Amino acid sequence: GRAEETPTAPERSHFLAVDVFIDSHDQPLAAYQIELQAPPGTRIVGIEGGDSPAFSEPPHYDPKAIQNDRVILGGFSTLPELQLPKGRTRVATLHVQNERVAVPEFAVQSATAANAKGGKVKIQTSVEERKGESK
Amino acid sequence: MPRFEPASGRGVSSIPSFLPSSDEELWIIARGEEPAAETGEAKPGCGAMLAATPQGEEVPMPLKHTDVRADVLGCITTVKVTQQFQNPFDSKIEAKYVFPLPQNAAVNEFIMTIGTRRIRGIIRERHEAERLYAAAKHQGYVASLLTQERPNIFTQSVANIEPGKQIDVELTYFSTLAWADGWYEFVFPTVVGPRFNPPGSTGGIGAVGRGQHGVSGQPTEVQYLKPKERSGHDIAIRLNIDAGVAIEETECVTHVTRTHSSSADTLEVTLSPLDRIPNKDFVFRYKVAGDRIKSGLVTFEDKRGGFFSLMLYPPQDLKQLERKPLEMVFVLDSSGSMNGRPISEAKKAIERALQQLRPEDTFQLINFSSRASQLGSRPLSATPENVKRGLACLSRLEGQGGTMMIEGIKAALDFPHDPGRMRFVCFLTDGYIDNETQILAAIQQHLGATRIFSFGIGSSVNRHLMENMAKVGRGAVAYLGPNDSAARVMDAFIERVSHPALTDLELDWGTLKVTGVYPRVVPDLFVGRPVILTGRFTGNSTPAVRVAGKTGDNTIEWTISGSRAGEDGASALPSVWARMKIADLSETALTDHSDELAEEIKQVALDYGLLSAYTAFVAVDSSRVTAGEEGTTVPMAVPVPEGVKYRTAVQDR
Repeated sequence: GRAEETPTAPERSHFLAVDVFIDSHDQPLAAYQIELQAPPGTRIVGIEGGDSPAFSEPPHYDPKAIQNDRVILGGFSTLPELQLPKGRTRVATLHVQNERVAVPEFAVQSATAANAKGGKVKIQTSVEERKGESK
Repeated sequence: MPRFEPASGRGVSSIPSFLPSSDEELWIIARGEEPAAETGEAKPGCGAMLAATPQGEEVPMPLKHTDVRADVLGCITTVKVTQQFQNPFDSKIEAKYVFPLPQNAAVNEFIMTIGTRRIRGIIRERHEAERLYAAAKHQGYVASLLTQERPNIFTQSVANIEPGKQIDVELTYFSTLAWADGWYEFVFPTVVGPRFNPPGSTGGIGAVGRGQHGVSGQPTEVQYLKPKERSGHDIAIRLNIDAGVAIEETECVTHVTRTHSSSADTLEVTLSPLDRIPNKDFVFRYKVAGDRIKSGLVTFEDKRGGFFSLMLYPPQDLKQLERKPLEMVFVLDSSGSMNGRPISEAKKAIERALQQLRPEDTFQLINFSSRASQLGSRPLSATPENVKRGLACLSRLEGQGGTMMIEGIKAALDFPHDPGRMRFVCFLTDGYIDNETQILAAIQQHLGATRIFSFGIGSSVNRHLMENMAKVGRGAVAYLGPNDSAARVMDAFIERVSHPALTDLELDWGTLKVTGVYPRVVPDLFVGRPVILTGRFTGNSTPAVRVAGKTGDNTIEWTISGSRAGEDGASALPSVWARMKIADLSETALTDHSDELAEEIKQVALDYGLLSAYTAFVAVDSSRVTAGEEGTTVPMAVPVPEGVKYRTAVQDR
């Protein structure tokens, strides 16, 4: 079972970066939308863009949803198809404050993606705590 | 005999308990004209190691550059402001910068850039955002926090900037473009003017000398560079205008600019590299083709529903109506911050107005600084002898002392109104006060049948106060900058008040079902000044809206037909509407201090992702902990606004 979550005192809260990946396999990724729910005790304090130039701008968020730490991330790119990312791509990073001991697990509530022609793309999503520092 | 020099430059009467007893000997030592510059090691917080340049002594400061990119589409402006912070010291710092934005700005985006990485900040309830920022700062993360102190004053905090490193913070806001007397006007303020805080106030914004944190006793302080100091901070402004119709004439009297047109409808304006010191408002005006501006409705719909903006221009008929006798009350700010050029320009404006009055008009002159005084016990007929007397009184006024504007308001509004005349009270001031809420509440309570016209005097006027005095006072606002013509500004004002306003406006929205229309009380329509209403709608978005209003016994009606849906810039309407709702709720809060109202303002701001008094933006880079101890806080010192004297406006030990 899951380890018991122990809330920490606010002064012992810590910050971590959580990367959001989309694997479009062999399809070029032109657009995506992912809805994520942060677990209790976690507050989102920043949203960063992804690795690929197609999604380097930090995605917008829905201001009403974020009040309950529900994040709807979306991005689209008008780059030529050859410049669009394929395979496993970091599309965004969530910067969060966590007030609990356990590593927060974000629930992916929905995820859709499209290729450059507007066709639906089958994807897998994953959300992982970043290890090591950014350069 | 020692020469008297008030320690704060604000006059003895503003210093509590400054009354020596009869058996004491009082020595008053004159202070030198120019305060001596400090010297010392180069470390954060001491502001020292001054480098001498031909322009003055350069003080290391954490804000290197501000870049402003503005796009005007129709009457909506989208402005991106990028502040480049860089640590010039050899240890980590936290930078704090108190700066202005237009008072109707709807700030809805906030991005922190570290190298090539861009992190979007999140809108949170203010106290929560402050806690998140404080925790991140304490734990060594690069973080930024944007808070609102007043509708036109903000604080940017950036924590854990490592030596030599640069952190950019970019904010975006929407606003509606002002239109008056045939000209569109884009304004970008660049420096907060030094505010006066009445004795005993504790929630204000202090004006102190560089390095003198805490001297004012106020929770927020703006630190000012001494006259011979400079920080190296400069500003770049680029304005792109797509007017939709041919641009006929342009004017910028505040700065040297370069313009470029690729078509008759468009214009690109850039600030000259020779004029980049941020010490005055940037004001760019332009006229478009067609002398008959028409009222119009713009709509926008998204998943939240329909939003509209209705611009009402006064009909031409108003100019033909008979002029009624006027009762003009001129209220001149003669405080220390007005010393020199500001009061000189204000006096010229009043002189011009007095010379335009007719013998059947009456006038009163009131001035205020630490106290208020007036020309006589009641208004005088505008006969040549009385006008001469008024001009003589005006010529003796100088700028010194505190800014007890509340005294000026009471003196101007608390005497009986002559029902046979239209009373206009004209305030001429730079607006450098911090008890704005008290002032606006007093106007609301004492207004009666009076109309307030506020004239902002100087290079960096408190436009939030000016606009709201006019709004609460059911009048209009005008500005007289250092390079504006007092005669032109006052002639336009006299022309406006000489024609009756359209009052008691009623709108029949036809098939448009509207809710949440702001402002809730439709202002009077004066010649040359449109009124903008925003609201929500359902139903047919191409209606005919009928407008009716009164001028004394006459009723004037006209119809606005059609609407412009999906117009460029209309996507900003939801933010603009939410901002106007917040402004309207804030005006109610002048007299209603309930928690429910504050909660409602907060909720609107959160729902629309807007900065407000109760919300803030926070951004944290949680991917890396910076090395070293928690950084020293370095407040960004700024120049006093052009034309304002450091000695009479800034608290300096």
